[in-house]
Amino acid sequence: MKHIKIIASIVMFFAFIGTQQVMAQGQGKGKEKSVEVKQKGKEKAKQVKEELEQEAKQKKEKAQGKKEKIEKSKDQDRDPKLKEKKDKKEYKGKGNAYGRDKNGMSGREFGQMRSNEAKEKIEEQERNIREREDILRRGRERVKKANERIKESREKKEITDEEVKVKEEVIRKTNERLSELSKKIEEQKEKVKKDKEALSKILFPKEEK
Amino acid sequence: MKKLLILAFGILIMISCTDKKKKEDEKKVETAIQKIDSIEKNLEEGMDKLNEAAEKVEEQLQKLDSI
Repeated sequence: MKHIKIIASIVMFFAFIGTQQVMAQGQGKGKEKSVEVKQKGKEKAKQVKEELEQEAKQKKEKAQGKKEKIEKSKDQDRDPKLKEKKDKKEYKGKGNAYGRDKNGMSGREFGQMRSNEAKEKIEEQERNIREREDILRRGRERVKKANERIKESREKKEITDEEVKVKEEVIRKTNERLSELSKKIEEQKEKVKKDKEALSKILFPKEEK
Repeated sequence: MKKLLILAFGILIMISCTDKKKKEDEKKVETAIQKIDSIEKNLEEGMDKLNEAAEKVEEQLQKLDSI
Protein backbone atom coordinates (compact mmCIF):
# COMPACT_ATOMS: atom_id res chain seq x y z
CA MET A 1 0.00 0.00 0.00
CA LYS A 2 2.86 2.30 0.90
CA HIS A 3 4.52 1.58 -2.44
CA ILE A 4 1.35 2.28 -4.37
CA LYS A 5 1.02 5.66 -2.68
CA ILE A 6 4.60 6.57 -3.49
CA ILE A 7 4.26 5.41 -7.11
CA ALA A 8 1.02 7.35 -7.55
CA SER A 9 2.64 10.48 -6.13
CA ILE A 10 5.66 10.13 -8.44
CA VAL A 11 3.43 9.60 -11.47
CA MET A 12 1.38 12.68 -10.57
CA PHE A 13 4.51 14.74 -10.03
CA PHE A 14 5.93 13.78 -13.43
CA ALA A 15 2.60 14.32 -15.09
CA PHE A 16 2.50 17.82 -13.62
CA ILE A 17 6.07 18.58 -14.73
CA GLY A 18 5.24 17.26 -18.20
CA THR A 19 2.21 19.51 -18.50
CA GLN A 20 4.21 22.48 -17.32
CA GLN A 21 6.89 21.85 -19.94
CA VAL A 22 4.33 21.52 -22.69
CA MET A 23 2.67 24.73 -21.53
CA ALA A 24 6.02 26.51 -21.33
CA GLN A 25 6.91 25.40 -24.88
CA GLY A 26 3.54 26.53 -26.09
CA GLN A 27 3.93 29.84 -24.33
CA GLY A 28 7.44 30.24 -25.73
CA LYS A 29 6.12 29.90 -29.24
CA GLY A 30 3.03 31.83 -28.35
CA LYS A 31 5.06 34.62 -26.79
CA GLU A 32 7.04 35.16 -29.97
CA LYS A 33 3.83 35.17 -31.92
CA SER A 34 2.04 37.38 -29.43
CA VAL A 35 4.92 39.88 -29.45
CA GLU A 36 4.72 39.97 -33.24
CA VAL A 37 0.97 40.27 -33.20
CA LYS A 38 1.13 42.98 -30.53
CA GLN A 39 3.65 44.98 -32.55
CA LYS A 40 1.55 44.59 -35.68
CA GLY A 41 -1.54 45.52 -33.71
CA LYS A 42 0.09 48.64 -32.31
CA GLU A 43 1.26 49.68 -35.78
CA LYS A 44 -2.21 49.13 -37.17
CA ALA A 45 -3.78 50.97 -34.25
CA LYS A 46 -1.45 53.89 -34.95
CA GLN A 47 -2.36 53.81 -38.64
CA VAL A 48 -6.07 53.71 -37.88
CA LYS A 49 -5.65 56.57 -35.39
CA GLU A 50 -3.80 58.67 -37.95
CA GLU A 51 -6.43 57.91 -40.57
CA LEU A 52 -9.19 58.91 -38.16
CA GLU A 53 -7.40 62.14 -37.29
CA GLN A 54 -6.96 62.96 -40.98
CA GLU A 55 -10.62 62.21 -41.63
CA ALA A 56 -11.66 64.41 -38.73
CA LYS A 57 -9.46 67.24 -40.07
CA GLN A 58 -10.90 66.89 -43.55
CA LYS A 59 -14.42 66.88 -42.14
CA LYS A 60 -13.68 70.02 -40.13
CA GLU A 61 -12.28 71.77 -43.19
CA LYS A 62 -15.28 70.70 -45.25
CA ALA A 63 -17.66 71.82 -42.53
CA GLN A 64 -16.00 75.24 -42.37
CA GLY A 65 -16.16 75.63 -46.14
CA LYS A 66 -19.80 74.67 -46.14
CA LYS A 67 -20.63 77.05 -43.30
CA GLU A 68 -19.14 79.92 -45.26
CA LYS A 69 -21.18 78.90 -48.28
CA ILE A 70 -24.33 78.66 -46.23
CA GLU A 71 -23.77 82.08 -44.75
CA LYS A 72 -23.32 83.51 -48.24
CA SER A 73 -26.50 81.94 -49.48
CA LYS A 74 -28.62 82.70 -46.43
CA ASP A 75 -31.43 83.91 -48.63
CA GLN A 76 -31.74 80.58 -50.29
CA ASP A 77 -31.75 78.69 -46.96
CA ARG A 78 -30.63 75.51 -48.61
CA ASP A 79 -28.66 72.86 -46.77
CA PRO A 80 -26.38 70.93 -49.17
CA LYS A 81 -25.01 68.89 -46.28
CA LEU A 82 -28.12 66.79 -46.10
CA LYS A 83 -27.61 65.00 -49.39
CA GLU A 84 -23.88 64.74 -49.04
CA LYS A 85 -24.16 63.16 -45.62
CA LYS A 86 -26.33 60.43 -47.00
CA ASP A 87 -23.75 59.58 -49.65
CA LYS A 88 -20.91 59.52 -47.20
CA LYS A 89 -19.71 56.06 -46.47
CA GLU A 90 -18.89 55.71 -42.84
CA TYR A 91 -17.25 52.93 -40.97
CA LYS A 92 -19.86 50.66 -39.52
CA GLY A 93 -19.47 48.01 -36.86
CA LYS A 94 -19.64 44.46 -38.08
CA GLY A 95 -22.24 43.31 -35.59
CA ASN A 96 -21.20 41.49 -32.47
CA ALA A 97 -17.86 42.15 -30.87
CA TYR A 98 -17.37 38.45 -30.41
CA GLY A 99 -15.29 36.90 -33.13
CA ARG A 100 -14.81 40.23 -34.84
CA ASP A 101 -11.58 40.84 -36.71
CA LYS A 102 -9.79 43.35 -34.52
CA ASN A 103 -6.91 43.98 -36.95
CA GLY A 104 -4.45 42.27 -34.63
CA MET A 105 -5.30 44.68 -31.79
CA SER A 106 -5.95 43.54 -28.26
CA GLY A 107 -9.55 43.72 -27.09
CA ARG A 108 -8.77 46.73 -24.91
CA GLU A 109 -7.05 48.66 -27.70
CA PHE A 110 -9.87 47.86 -30.09
CA GLY A 111 -12.44 48.88 -27.50
CA GLN A 112 -10.74 52.19 -26.90
CA MET A 113 -10.55 52.85 -30.62
CA ARG A 114 -14.29 52.15 -30.93
CA SER A 115 -14.95 54.36 -27.92
CA ASN A 116 -13.07 57.23 -29.59
CA GLU A 117 -15.04 56.70 -32.78
CA ALA A 118 -18.30 56.80 -30.82
CA LYS A 119 -17.18 60.04 -29.14
CA GLU A 120 -16.51 61.57 -32.56
CA LYS A 121 -19.94 60.46 -33.71
CA ILE A 122 -21.53 62.11 -30.69
CA GLU A 123 -19.72 65.34 -31.54
CA GLU A 124 -20.91 65.04 -35.13
CA GLN A 125 -24.48 64.54 -33.95
CA GLU A 126 -24.20 67.59 -31.69
CA ARG A 127 -23.03 69.65 -34.69
CA ASN A 128 -25.90 68.21 -36.69
CA ILE A 129 -28.39 69.21 -34.00
CA ARG A 130 -27.03 72.78 -33.92
CA GLU A 131 -27.40 73.03 -37.71
CA ARG A 132 -30.99 71.76 -37.55
CA GLU A 133 -31.77 74.28 -34.82
CA ASP A 134 -30.52 76.95 -37.18
CA ILE A 135 -32.83 75.64 -39.91
CA LEU A 136 -35.70 75.67 -37.43
CA ARG A 137 -35.02 79.24 -36.39
CA ARG A 138 -34.78 80.47 -39.99
CA GLY A 139 -37.89 78.50 -40.92
CA ARG A 140 -39.90 80.20 -38.19
CA GLU A 141 -38.68 83.59 -39.38
CA ARG A 142 -39.78 82.77 -42.91
CA VAL A 143 -43.21 81.68 -41.71
CA LYS A 144 -43.55 84.94 -39.82
CA LYS A 145 -42.63 86.92 -42.94
CA ALA A 146 -45.07 84.90 -45.07
CA ASN A 147 -47.84 85.63 -42.57
CA GLU A 148 -47.06 89.32 -42.75
CA ARG A 149 -47.07 89.22 -46.55
CA ILE A 150 -50.49 87.56 -46.58
CA LYS A 151 -51.87 90.03 -44.08
CA GLU A 152 -50.61 92.96 -46.15
CA SER A 153 -51.98 91.67 -49.41
CA ARG A 154 -55.31 90.88 -47.75
CA GLU A 155 -55.53 94.41 -46.43
CA LYS A 156 -54.68 95.82 -49.84
CA LYS A 157 -57.14 93.36 -51.34
CA GLU A 158 -54.55 92.08 -53.77
CA ILE A 159 -55.61 88.45 -53.28
CA THR A 160 -58.94 86.63 -53.04
CA ASP A 161 -60.19 84.74 -50.00
CA GLU A 162 -59.52 81.43 -51.73
CA GLU A 163 -55.93 82.36 -52.41
CA VAL A 164 -55.61 83.36 -48.78
CA LYS A 165 -56.94 79.96 -47.74
CA VAL A 166 -54.43 78.11 -49.93
CA LYS A 167 -51.57 80.18 -48.61
CA GLU A 168 -52.68 79.72 -45.02
CA GLU A 169 -52.82 75.97 -45.59
CA VAL A 170 -49.20 76.01 -46.78
CA ILE A 171 -48.23 77.98 -43.69
CA ARG A 172 -50.11 75.58 -41.45
CA LYS A 173 -48.28 72.61 -42.98
CA THR A 174 -44.95 74.37 -42.65
CA ASN A 175 -45.69 75.06 -38.99
CA GLU A 176 -46.53 71.39 -38.51
CA ARG A 177 -43.25 70.30 -40.05
CA LEU A 178 -41.36 72.83 -38.01
CA SER A 179 -42.87 71.61 -34.76
CA GLU A 180 -42.07 68.02 -35.80
CA LEU A 181 -38.48 69.03 -36.37
CA SER A 182 -38.39 70.85 -33.07
CA LYS A 183 -39.70 67.76 -31.28
CA LYS A 184 -37.11 65.56 -32.95
CA ILE A 185 -34.33 67.98 -32.09
CA GLU A 186 -35.35 67.86 -28.42
CA GLU A 187 -35.52 64.06 -28.52
CA GLN A 188 -32.08 63.84 -30.08
CA LYS A 189 -30.63 66.26 -27.57
CA GLU A 190 -31.85 64.01 -24.77
CA LYS A 191 -30.57 60.90 -26.51
CA VAL A 192 -27.16 62.39 -27.16
CA LYS A 193 -26.93 63.43 -23.54
CA LYS A 194 -27.78 59.92 -22.39
CA ASP A 195 -25.40 58.31 -24.87
CA LYS A 196 -22.63 60.63 -23.74
CA GLU A 197 -23.19 59.62 -20.15
CA ALA A 198 -23.34 55.93 -21.03
CA LEU A 199 -20.12 56.20 -23.01
CA SER A 200 -18.31 57.94 -20.18
CA LYS A 201 -19.36 55.12 -17.86
CA ILE A 202 -17.84 52.44 -20.06
CA LEU A 203 -14.46 51.53 -18.66
CA PHE A 204 -11.94 49.05 -19.90
CA PRO A 205 -9.96 46.88 -17.46
CA LYS A 206 -6.30 47.82 -17.17
CA GLU A 207 -3.91 45.85 -19.34
CA GLU A 208 -1.48 43.62 -17.45
CA LYS A 209 2.18 43.85 -18.47
CA MET B 1 6.75 14.27 -0.80
CA LYS B 2 3.45 15.40 0.66
CA LYS B 3 4.66 19.00 0.83
CA LEU B 4 5.75 18.83 -2.78
CA LEU B 5 2.33 17.61 -3.85
CA ILE B 6 0.58 20.36 -1.92
CA LEU B 7 2.89 22.93 -3.52
CA ALA B 8 2.20 21.53 -6.97
CA PHE B 9 -1.56 21.66 -6.47
CA GLY B 10 -1.27 25.17 -5.09
CA ILE B 11 0.55 26.32 -8.21
CA LEU B 12 -2.05 24.63 -10.41
CA ILE B 13 -4.89 26.39 -8.60
CA MET B 14 -3.07 29.73 -8.91
CA ILE B 15 -2.63 29.26 -12.65
CA SER B 16 -6.30 28.41 -13.12
CA CYS B 17 -7.33 31.48 -11.08
CA THR B 18 -5.16 33.82 -13.20
CA ASP B 19 -6.62 32.34 -16.36
CA LYS B 20 -10.14 32.86 -15.05
CA LYS B 21 -9.43 36.52 -14.25
CA LYS B 22 -8.05 37.05 -17.74
CA LYS B 23 -11.16 35.53 -19.26
CA GLU B 24 -13.37 37.74 -17.09
CA ASP B 25 -11.46 40.82 -18.26
CA GLU B 26 -11.88 39.76 -21.87
CA LYS B 27 -15.59 39.30 -21.32
CA LYS B 28 -15.84 42.79 -19.79
CA VAL B 29 -14.07 44.30 -22.80
CA GLU B 30 -16.37 42.46 -25.20
CA THR B 31 -19.44 43.66 -23.30
CA ALA B 32 -18.10 47.22 -23.37
CA ILE B 33 -17.53 47.01 -27.14
CA GLN B 34 -21.07 45.76 -27.63
CA LYS B 35 -22.42 48.67 -25.59
CA ILE B 36 -20.41 51.10 -27.72
CA ASP B 37 -21.83 49.46 -30.85
CA SER B 38 -25.38 49.90 -29.61
CA ILE B 39 -24.67 53.55 -28.73
CA GLU B 40 -23.32 54.17 -32.23
CA LYS B 41 -26.32 52.47 -33.77
CA ASN B 42 -28.63 54.67 -31.70
CA LEU B 43 -26.75 57.76 -32.82
CA GLU B 44 -26.95 56.77 -36.48
CA GLU B 45 -30.68 56.14 -36.21
CA GLY B 46 -31.15 59.49 -34.50
CA MET B 47 -29.14 61.25 -37.19
CA ASP B 48 -31.26 59.67 -39.92
CA LYS B 49 -34.51 60.69 -38.22
CA LEU B 50 -33.31 64.24 -37.75
CA ASN B 51 -32.11 64.50 -41.35
CA GLU B 52 -35.43 63.17 -42.59
CA ALA B 53 -37.38 65.75 -40.57
CA ALA B 54 -35.04 68.53 -41.73
CA GLU B 55 -35.50 67.49 -45.37
CA LYS B 56 -39.27 67.67 -45.01
CA VAL B 57 -38.98 71.14 -43.51
CA GLU B 58 -36.74 72.28 -46.36
CA GLU B 59 -39.25 71.03 -48.93
CA GLN B 60 -42.09 72.80 -47.15
CA LEU B 61 -40.07 76.00 -46.85
CA GLN B 62 -39.53 75.98 -50.61
CA LYS B 63 -43.29 75.74 -51.09
CA LEU B 64 -43.69 78.60 -48.63
CA ASP B 65 -41.30 80.77 -50.60
CA SER B 66 -43.30 80.21 -53.77
CA ILE B 67 -46.53 81.64 -52.31
